[in-house]
Amino acid sequence: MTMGHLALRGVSKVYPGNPPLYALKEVSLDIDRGEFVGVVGPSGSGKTTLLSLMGLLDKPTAGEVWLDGVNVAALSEAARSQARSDQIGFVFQQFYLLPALTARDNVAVGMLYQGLGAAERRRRADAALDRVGLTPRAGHRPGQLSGGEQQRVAIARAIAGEPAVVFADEPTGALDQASGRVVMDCLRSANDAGTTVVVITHDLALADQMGRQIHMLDGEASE
Amino acid sequence: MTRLKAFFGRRGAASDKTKRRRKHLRPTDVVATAALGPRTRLVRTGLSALGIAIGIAALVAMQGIPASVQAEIRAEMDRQGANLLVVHPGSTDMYGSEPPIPLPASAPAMIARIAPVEGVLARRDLDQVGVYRSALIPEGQSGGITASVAEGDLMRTLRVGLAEGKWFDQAASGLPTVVLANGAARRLGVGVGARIWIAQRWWAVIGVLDRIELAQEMDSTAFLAPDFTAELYPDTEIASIYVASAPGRSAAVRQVIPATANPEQPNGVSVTQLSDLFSASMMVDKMFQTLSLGLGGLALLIGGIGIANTMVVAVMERRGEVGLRRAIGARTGQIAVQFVLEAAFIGLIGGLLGLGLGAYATFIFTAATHSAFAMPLWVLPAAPVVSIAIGAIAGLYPALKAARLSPTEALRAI
Ligand SMILES: Nc1ncnc2c1ncn2[C@@H]1O[C@H](COP(=O)(O)OP(=O)(O)OP(=O)(O)O)[C@@H](O)[C@H]1O
Ligand SMILES: [Mg+2]
Repeated sequence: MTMGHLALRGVSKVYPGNPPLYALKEVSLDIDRGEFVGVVGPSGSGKTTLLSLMGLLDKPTAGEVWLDGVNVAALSEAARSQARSDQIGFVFQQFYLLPALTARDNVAVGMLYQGLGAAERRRRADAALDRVGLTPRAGHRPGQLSGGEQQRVAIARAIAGEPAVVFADEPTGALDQASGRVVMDCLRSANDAGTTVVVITHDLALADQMGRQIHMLDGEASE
Repeated sequence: MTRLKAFFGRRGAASDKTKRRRKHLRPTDVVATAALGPRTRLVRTGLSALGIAIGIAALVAMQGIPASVQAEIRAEMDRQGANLLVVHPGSTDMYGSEPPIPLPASAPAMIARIAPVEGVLARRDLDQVGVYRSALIPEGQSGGITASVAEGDLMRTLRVGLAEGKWFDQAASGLPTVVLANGAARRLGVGVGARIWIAQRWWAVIGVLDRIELAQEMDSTAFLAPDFTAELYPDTEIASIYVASAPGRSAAVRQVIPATANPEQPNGVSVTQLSDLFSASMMVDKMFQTLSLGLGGLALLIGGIGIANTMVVAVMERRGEVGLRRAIGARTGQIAVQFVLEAAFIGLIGGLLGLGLGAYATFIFTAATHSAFAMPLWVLPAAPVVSIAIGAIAGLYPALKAARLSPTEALRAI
């Protein structure tokens, strides 16, 4: 069996405690370049845990996580940070925009740890804002933007550094349907441009529009 | 198979330019990132910088103010006689078993030639001579009054005035006349115009001195007319020489006195300072220094604690930001540096504020006391450096706490 761009092999995650909590149980899956994957499942089934491991935010208790042919679970903390900044973009339900910065600067911060110069970051930030249709709001702060617009800024931040994969954890969770649809359109157009996109969602109608679905249940994954 | 591919894949990855390791932020980005937090919360930044500002201001002002206060105190001390030196015959042997070497007769004149010397007084004691109120009092019951000869400017050197009468003039010096120190006059119960019995003859009291504050050991002395006494007792040795020097110069004068007073045996000259006053002045200096250091240090400590507190709160509030920064690729060290620099930045603001406040306070003080504005130059770089250091130290613990947050922990916080 050949390995996908992103591959999990027997990945388990146990949160220590009494009793210990098996959040993921020997999950194996492959995601190829350019796929648009939906992750669905009930609350507490391990979706966010799965995404943290695929996004190199956390290490598995057992098993291997391969990204672009490298077992990232074995990398040092610093190397995983570097891989996150170069190859991965994140979108969260809570946006996590810096309130003091304009939309443009928030997007530019996304490339801060890639080692790009300020002018180059700004240029790419403007291009990314254009892709999510927010060029007119580039100079506004998060407080001046609607929730949907804020999430589009967050998407622009995730894609501006041209990552191979974008992970989105319930990106529409805090939005009404109309703005949720716009946000999903933004992710879809990023996917059209070649970026692998993995989206956690509770919204089964949204999930049905995606190329592929992974169902989580009690820490186990199925298609 | 997978391992083999991983091996090649890893090598391939290493050559890929997007996977260069350990990218560093540019210094401007580091500074801008660290300044972002304090810049966003200006009131909080200002308030937490206040402690450092007060501490630095106290230390800065204490560099400037005591300088002028100390100058003031020194002048006061000098006015009171801290600049008075006393020269005695000394022993060349440091255990004092050898007899002291007499001071040469030329010593007072030689010492008077030292430039900063303003007054010289040589005292010769007539140890065997008793001073009596009348001829009827038996020998030996002199009531502890010493007969001495004082050559030189007693009133100027010891800063003493006359209670009544006069000091010896040319004519009186050759006659059996006497000037009494205040204590001696009281003990004898006599004043100007009286006669007293010394060395088997009557002497006329021509003057009574005020109390000699600077040399109280002389307060029960009867000063005999110099020329007249020199003929009676030609070989009396110099017991001590009192030397008054210009304000602030007594240390310099003290150094050259031995060789000046006795060029052949400078070791045989002992010089002491009226040390009570002198050490009092030193103690005042010390007290000021200790007080200012204590006050300033305390304020700085409290300021540091204030910054640490602000940073702990900031880290708690901004867990989400920490999580996001980790997600977009910040290493733990970069998070730590960001928060340490934030704290240092608050410290710097406090330091600059304190420098201005302290300089202003010193200026106001010197203007009010009509003294010269004097600020040591090293204060200029020291104040910001110290406050940056305190801020950084205060930020260390919160910064490490922030850096130790795992990305997932930090992102779970709402
Ligand atoms: N740090 C942790 N320590 C202990 N247990 C944890 C931790 N993080 C998650 N869990 C537990 O692991 C399980 C999976 O959590 P996870 O957040 O992955 O679920 P989820 O599918 O994302 O749920 P939701 O849809 O509510 O976000 C849950 O039971 C959760 O309580
Ligand atoms: Mg979740």
